[in-house]
Amino acid sequence: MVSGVSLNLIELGHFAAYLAFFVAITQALAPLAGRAFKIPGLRVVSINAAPLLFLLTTIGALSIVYSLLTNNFSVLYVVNNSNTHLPVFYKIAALWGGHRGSLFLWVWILTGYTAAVAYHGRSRYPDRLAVIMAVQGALIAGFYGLILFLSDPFTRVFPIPPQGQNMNPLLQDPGMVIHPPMLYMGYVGFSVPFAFAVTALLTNWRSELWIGYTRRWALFGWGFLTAGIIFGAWWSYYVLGWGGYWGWDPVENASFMPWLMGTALIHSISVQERRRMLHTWNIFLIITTFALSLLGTFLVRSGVLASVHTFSAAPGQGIYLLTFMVIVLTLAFGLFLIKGGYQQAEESFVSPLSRESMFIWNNVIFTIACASVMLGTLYPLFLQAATGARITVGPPYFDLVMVPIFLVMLAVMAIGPLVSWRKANLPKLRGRLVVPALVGVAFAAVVAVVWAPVYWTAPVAVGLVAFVAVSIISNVARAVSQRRKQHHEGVGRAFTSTVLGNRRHYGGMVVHMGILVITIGLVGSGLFKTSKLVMMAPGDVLHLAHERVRFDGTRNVRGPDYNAVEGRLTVLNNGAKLYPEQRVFFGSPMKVERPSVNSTLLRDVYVDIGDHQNGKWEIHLFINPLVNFIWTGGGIVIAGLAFSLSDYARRRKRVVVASEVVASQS
Amino acid sequence: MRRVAALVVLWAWLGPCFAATIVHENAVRRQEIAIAKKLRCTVCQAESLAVSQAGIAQDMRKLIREKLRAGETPAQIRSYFVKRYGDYILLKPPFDPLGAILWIWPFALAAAFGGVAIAVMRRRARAPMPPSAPELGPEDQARVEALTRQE
Repeated sequence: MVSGVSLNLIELGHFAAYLAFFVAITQALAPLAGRAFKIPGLRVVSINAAPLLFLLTTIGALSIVYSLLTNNFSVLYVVNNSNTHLPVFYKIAALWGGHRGSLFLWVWILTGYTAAVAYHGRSRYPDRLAVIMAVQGALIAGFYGLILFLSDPFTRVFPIPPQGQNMNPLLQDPGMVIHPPMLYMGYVGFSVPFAFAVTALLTNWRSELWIGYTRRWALFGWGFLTAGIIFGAWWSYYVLGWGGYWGWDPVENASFMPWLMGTALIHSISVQERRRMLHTWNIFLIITTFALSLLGTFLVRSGVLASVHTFSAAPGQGIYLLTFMVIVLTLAFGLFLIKGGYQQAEESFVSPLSRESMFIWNNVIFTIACASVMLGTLYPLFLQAATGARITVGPPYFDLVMVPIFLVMLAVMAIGPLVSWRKANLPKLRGRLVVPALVGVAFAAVVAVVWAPVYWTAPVAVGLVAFVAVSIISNVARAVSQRRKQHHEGVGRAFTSTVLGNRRHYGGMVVHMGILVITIGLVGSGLFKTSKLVMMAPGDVLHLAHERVRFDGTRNVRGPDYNAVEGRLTVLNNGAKLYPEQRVFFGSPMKVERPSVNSTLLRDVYVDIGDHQNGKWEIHLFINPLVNFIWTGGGIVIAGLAFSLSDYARRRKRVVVASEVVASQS
Repeated sequence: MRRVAALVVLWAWLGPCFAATIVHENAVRRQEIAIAKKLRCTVCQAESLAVSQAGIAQDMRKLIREKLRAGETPAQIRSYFVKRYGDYILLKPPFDPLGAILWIWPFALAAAFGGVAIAVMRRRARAPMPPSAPELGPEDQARVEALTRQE
């Protein structure tokens, strides 16, 4: 039903969005105007604009959600992405199920972050807050311009159609409901360090005064980006039905690039905090990470890449986004070139073998990884634009290039945390590395022998994982035993006080452990998976990798907005039932295969059902070992990150004191 | 007796032939998947022939299978597809003038960034640093103490 109330609400939202556009422009210009006309009071306008912008954008977003919920088909966006059969859950998620709505989500999250920074900064960095807000305001205005003039989700249609088209069937899944907001929280989260860096360059803001805050915002964004990528993989695995979770799809790469640079960034900031060096490099990293977030948004939203993520987009939007990106980045990098060296390193390298040098190697490796992914993703586009030649850079290329880089990364991960700051004590370091290295070699040998004709990366990766794990555990054990000696405490107490006393460090180690668990999952599912595609009649049994799967037949089922053929299979080893479906959604000619998975800790039995012929059905069976390790590892990473961040809440007071002391010096 | 002997001989002769056919068929399937993994589905988005569910991908896989049965080598089959679809069909770009940069790039980067990192660390190790920030004055010291006590 189209009610009069909802008609008014969508226009209210539209009006709020226009207001927000002008508020954002005001926010961006107020400090400049204040400076030009010598009215310092104007700075406050910028700061107060932040919560107002968030409020207005929230009104806009809620009005779209309300229109979706009330099936207001006078709104074009609702017509294109929802219909009356769609479950309520997906109607809400339809806000980011289409191109226009997902851009609105982007700007909504951006205003949310801006409001949070305004709140966070009012007592901590009040003197620079107005400039930070102005930078964020410029970004918000840029995105609002795109939304309102080229990609307006509030557009109305007349005559009002009686029914909407459906949401893209592939997107109707809980994983997809969570994936985009997580990813955007990550992408947009890096806008905050960006605003800090630009402000610092503009106002010669001493690095020590802001880098700590930036680290916190960067970690926050990084956590969401990590979660977003893992949810994306999860969605790809459980919904797309191709038996894998990561295909080096250009759009996946678009989210992976900022992740790689963000990872370099959160490591590199530590060096600056501890050793007062790399100021300039950190600013460069911050700008680059946000640049890659913008690039990711451009690649996905402009339609230059063909992918499941590309909803139909008008060409003008691509040009707008590209122009916007080029302007923002030219200004940012230009500013960096002119003023990047405003603050020189204050301490020098003591030794080429030190914690700081290990962090630098970390940065070098992550930068190489990112640049390689970037070339592989963009080169086909450039080549086609320049010469018309079409080439494909697919998974075999990325696997070949990225796996060795990743293995070197693991080696650095094992050694890095054991090396002391300033100058490593070589004999001591050697002593600490012997046992982990030997354990690593032993594990590698076992894998090489037991799974005899296996690709070389499996034993090397497993060996390195063992190396890292033992080095982390022995490091913790050493710290605990030291504490026991000093404080005469029991093991349990010494352990908790050690770990709780340095949450930042041990949280980081938990994250490393999570990465190791993910690595095991990648090795298992990447190198040991098997699959078979066969025609099966009811009663047939298929053998694959020690699993026996019986096909019991099919039946027709009906979902809220689709009809489906459901295959019924039994895993004979453990009696589990599998029900893969082939769905035909209302209002869409597309047949969608929905796999069914029986998951245990060590292996997944993964089944798709296809078309039938002469009473036989096409069954695609995959045995994927250790996939659960990937999701578990992702959980550990996020838990470790949360633990690490919990340190800030505890220490906040001290940080404020310290920054005031530094401020009084400068 | 003679008949039994004949049967045994027949079996001894035919058995390996059947087995060979089965083994051969398995090998064909394995090779088919191996080839299909390296070719892209022409109508899909970044999917290989091995995982794509599109009709054309299945037809192309069938073609690979038939060519393997006819005794063509994987290299011949790959070049057949490249001739028809161009380098676009290869998921792994070839090492030719256009594709070479993709393969050289990571090594070039490793050399360049590694070199820069070493150079910077060396220079920084030798370069005299600006004088470090002055120690806290007595006034600041008092402030810090006061604030710490408050906490």
